[in-house]
Amino acid sequence: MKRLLLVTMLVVLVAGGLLFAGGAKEKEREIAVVPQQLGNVVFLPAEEGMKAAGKDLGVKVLWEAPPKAEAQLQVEVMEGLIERGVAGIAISCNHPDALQGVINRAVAAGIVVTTFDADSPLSDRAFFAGTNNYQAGYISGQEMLRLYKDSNKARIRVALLEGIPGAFDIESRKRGFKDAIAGSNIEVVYEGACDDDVDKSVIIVEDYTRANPNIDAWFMAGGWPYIVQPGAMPEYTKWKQADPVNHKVVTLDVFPSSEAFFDLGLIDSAIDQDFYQMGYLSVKNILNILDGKPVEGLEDIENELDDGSIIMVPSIDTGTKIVLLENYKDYFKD
Amino acid sequence: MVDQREQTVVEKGSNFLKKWGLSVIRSNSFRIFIVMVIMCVAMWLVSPPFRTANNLLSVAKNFSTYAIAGIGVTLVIITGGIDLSIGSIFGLTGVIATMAFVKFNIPAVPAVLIGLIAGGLLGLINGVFIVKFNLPPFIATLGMLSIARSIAYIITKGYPVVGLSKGILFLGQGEILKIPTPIWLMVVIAIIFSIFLNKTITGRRIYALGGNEEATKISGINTDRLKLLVYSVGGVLYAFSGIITASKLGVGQPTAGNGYELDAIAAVVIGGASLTGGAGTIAGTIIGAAIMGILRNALVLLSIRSHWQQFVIGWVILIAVILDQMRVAKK
Amino acid sequence: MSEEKKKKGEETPFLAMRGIYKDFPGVRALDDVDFSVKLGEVMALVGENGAGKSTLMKILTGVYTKDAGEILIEGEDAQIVDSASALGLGISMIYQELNLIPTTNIAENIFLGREIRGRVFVDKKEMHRQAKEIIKMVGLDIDTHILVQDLSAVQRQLIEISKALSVNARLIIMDEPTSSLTETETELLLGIIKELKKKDVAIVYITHRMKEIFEIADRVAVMRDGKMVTILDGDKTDTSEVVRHMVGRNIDTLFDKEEAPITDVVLEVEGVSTKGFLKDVSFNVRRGEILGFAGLVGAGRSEVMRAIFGIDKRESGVIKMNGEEITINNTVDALNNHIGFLPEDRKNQALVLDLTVRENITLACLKALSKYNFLDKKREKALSEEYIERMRIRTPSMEQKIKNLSGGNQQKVAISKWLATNSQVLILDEPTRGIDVGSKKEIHTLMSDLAKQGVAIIMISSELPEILGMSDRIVVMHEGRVKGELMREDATQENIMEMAIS
Repeated sequence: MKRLLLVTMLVVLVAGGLLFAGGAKEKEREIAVVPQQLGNVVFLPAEEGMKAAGKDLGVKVLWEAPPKAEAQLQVEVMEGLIERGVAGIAISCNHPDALQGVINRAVAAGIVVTTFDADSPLSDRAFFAGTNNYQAGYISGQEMLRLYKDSNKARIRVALLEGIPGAFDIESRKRGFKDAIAGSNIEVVYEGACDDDVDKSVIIVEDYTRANPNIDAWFMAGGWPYIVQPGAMPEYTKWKQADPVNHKVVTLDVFPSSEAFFDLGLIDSAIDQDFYQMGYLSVKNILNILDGKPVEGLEDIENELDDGSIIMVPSIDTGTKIVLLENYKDYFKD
Repeated sequence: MVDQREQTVVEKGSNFLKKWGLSVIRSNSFRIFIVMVIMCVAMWLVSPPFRTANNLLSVAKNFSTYAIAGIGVTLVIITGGIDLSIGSIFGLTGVIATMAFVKFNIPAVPAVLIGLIAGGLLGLINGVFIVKFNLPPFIATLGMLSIARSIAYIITKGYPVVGLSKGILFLGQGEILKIPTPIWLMVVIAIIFSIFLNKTITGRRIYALGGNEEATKISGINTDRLKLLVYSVGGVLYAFSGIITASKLGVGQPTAGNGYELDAIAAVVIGGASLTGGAGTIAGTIIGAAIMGILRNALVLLSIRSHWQQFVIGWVILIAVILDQMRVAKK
Repeated sequence: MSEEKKKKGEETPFLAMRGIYKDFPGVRALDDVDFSVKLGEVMALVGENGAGKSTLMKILTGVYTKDAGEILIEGEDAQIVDSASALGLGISMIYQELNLIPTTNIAENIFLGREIRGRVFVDKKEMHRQAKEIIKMVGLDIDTHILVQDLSAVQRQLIEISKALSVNARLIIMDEPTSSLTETETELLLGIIKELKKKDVAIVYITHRMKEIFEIADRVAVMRDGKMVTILDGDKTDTSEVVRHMVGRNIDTLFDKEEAPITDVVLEVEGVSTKGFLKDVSFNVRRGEILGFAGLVGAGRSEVMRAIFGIDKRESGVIKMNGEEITINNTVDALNNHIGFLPEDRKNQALVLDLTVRENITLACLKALSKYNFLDKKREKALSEEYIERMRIRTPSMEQKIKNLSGGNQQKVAISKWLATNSQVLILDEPTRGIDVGSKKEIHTLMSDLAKQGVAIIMISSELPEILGMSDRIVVMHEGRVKGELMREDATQENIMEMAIS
């Protein structure tokens, strides 16, 4: 019985392996895109962009990532890809320094490596595609200032939602946001971390809003709560709808599910980084480099190191879209 | 003996109350219950928002999903096992039930049942690896942790399952007599499993298995079947917890429950269960989950920076276990 | 060192132990023991299990400290406080469970803890070169890179011996070195021991195998009940004399077994074998009979019972109950066929220590106390009450945790568990080991009572007086086989022991 089970499992494994091996007989040119983790909704448009580019340009594309957003796991994924001998890799780094070594090893192995969304500025990668997180955070701060431009309140108190404390990208966004509002009458009075968990993000926003119905604004450094249905957040809904003029919400990330929140007037301004373009342009320009063609739209743009200092890096700016209560219907049309 | 028989009904009644009261005070969960009460009283005094019925119901609603998964892993831990696949089964079955409902238009009740059955099967697979292939539970369920999570990504392609409507939402967002459904579900499940552990012979055997596997086996008890049972039941309860959470949020996410195993196990350990097996109660687990829930709520209400949350939770676990060991040592 | 060697006189033995005492809680393990070994001599040390052989050797190797007495090495007072000081005096012990690390190679094992260092790292080359020479001393010529786990049993023994020689051991103690060896391997080892003798090494050889003793031993020391009974000259003695000294104690009147009518055969066991150990074990037991199982520890008595009870896998064999063949693949089958089994390790195998007296008594009969899986607590309490009274279990209440009871009372609970299932066959493995005299007597009385009620009892005991006192019939086992059967009236300590050891 035991042996039979084992044999069956072995047969299935081997057969599966053979099928895969059969598929990879001829060495095709492959380009891999490596987001920070699997299953993170933020990266789904990048996957679509990657696939579209693969189809348009006739190249095989792979979507590879660790199950958790951890640098070490991502290094292992990269090593697998080097072993596999892919032609190009576009990666969104969980941490700039931690990934630097493996990026350089891949480049040394003759692979064209680029970064998107989250850069590793000191590595040998060819270029960075995206908007850097600090920039996105800074724009969020500017949006917050704009929303309260006409307010006559002396002090605007903001509650902030973050993911895993210490995660590099979210910390950059927070720093950008705080730099933008520095010196204004807007101040962050609370920071809650949801561990990248949607359920916990909802609990934090709900609990805090219930306890502090007079908080002026929420800044979401990532879009976790907007993955759920608005019905799961009654306290937040009540708070926002009670005083839509004085209660404001700025968030990073826009998902299809965010539309329902706009419909109810629960988001004022959402800053969307164009992940679709990041996926598409990364694949396209890796291919350009491989074919000896120039990279399109390359320019030197500021990016930050982990000590907060700024350097210039070769970038493709995919830009940000600001989705507002006034114009969100256009955004969600396509 | 003769004296007792001659006692009046009233005396018997008060005697019963006294006995019952004593058994509560001596019970394993009592100290930790006191800790919970102290936490509540402190928060009651310090934080006016804590006192609102709304907040208290919300806290209870939020910890009820941890408690339900915790009850599942309590059974496993009493047998001396461990289950690391809680969070993954939680996520996968949440996705399975919501997909069945949304993509395949299966009505709410059967869709939920499909999710629960899937959870039971995943748990059974854990059990088979432990019993038939002699894998340590840590390893078997560590494997399942990866496999179940991966299946969730594969069947959803990473996308959340949206478009949940009425029927299935009742499980997480509904109310009965103004009390949220998840709380009712937690109470019902807690009662069922308390009775199971304390009144049935299977329950007795589960404690015996955890206390001494060899002696239990030599007492003519099929310990393999007991293990298959607890891991399967565990799977069903993680699934129930996952489906309630999906319903509560109105979305089935493949990433849901990442790391929940540690929260659920922490609740069980705070509740006085021993990781070496043989000890643990449902009441203890509920209180353990409640303490974690109250703590999370307190940290938000008191505007304590998120960096400190894990710090505080870690200390609570350590203090709870030390308290429990002091109780055992005293005996 | 070499000068010392030359000085060794005929009169002064290498080791002399005088008036050694050692007490353990409740028992005197060594009682005024004298012992000596000369260089170039093989001293056999024999005795029943628990006679004190191991304790004596453990004092010599620094594992235990003596309560009184003196140890002289070459006539000089020696302080042995730990294993390092024993090694320093040239005393090495080779244990039954070898102290080698299976996953490392020969050289690494020989030099474990005293690796040869180069400038910074271990000098592997030099280590293997020296190891090769060391193992040549015991006639081994194999690659020292081989892992210990890939060696045969005798090769491992030889590695241990060569390791001892490499630290200049002058006295080597071997504890049943041939118990896991084949016959040719045994010959090889005995040959090596003879070589060692020529090299002036003193050897203490603990064994139960008379044949080996007479092949190599110069003298035979016999221990019994913590005392050194006699030291015999190897050339001038024979098996029956040694055995007589081993068992020569008076049987006291502790055992008042009552006659019970012995009727039909209940359990029949035919040709039971297990992988690599039990060989073709057959016996039967009748209603009302107490069947004793005698033999040395490790003879396979407990293993037979575990195989019959469905705990360990059987390779072959038939089990019949009341004349009909039954299937027992697990303990559930055994229980359903009304067989009860009290294992020898009370705390680890018989009881769940964290449960109460009540819960332990009813553990095996829960099904009978339940309806639709729900336990009838009233009946459970009544049943527990009944057994606490009947077995005279001394406990403040049935709700007391079993771990708080004395050994004797724990044992009574463990037996009650099986009585509550109405066992027709009750297997008791060392039922009175480690319990007080009063409880012991109570358990013996109970066995008589059960036999009178028609229960068939199988009793394993390593105490010959208990076997002789309680059994109607005695099965003697030796190295996984049934060596013979004796009726109560024919059995003596001597003929049982003779069967058990050769």
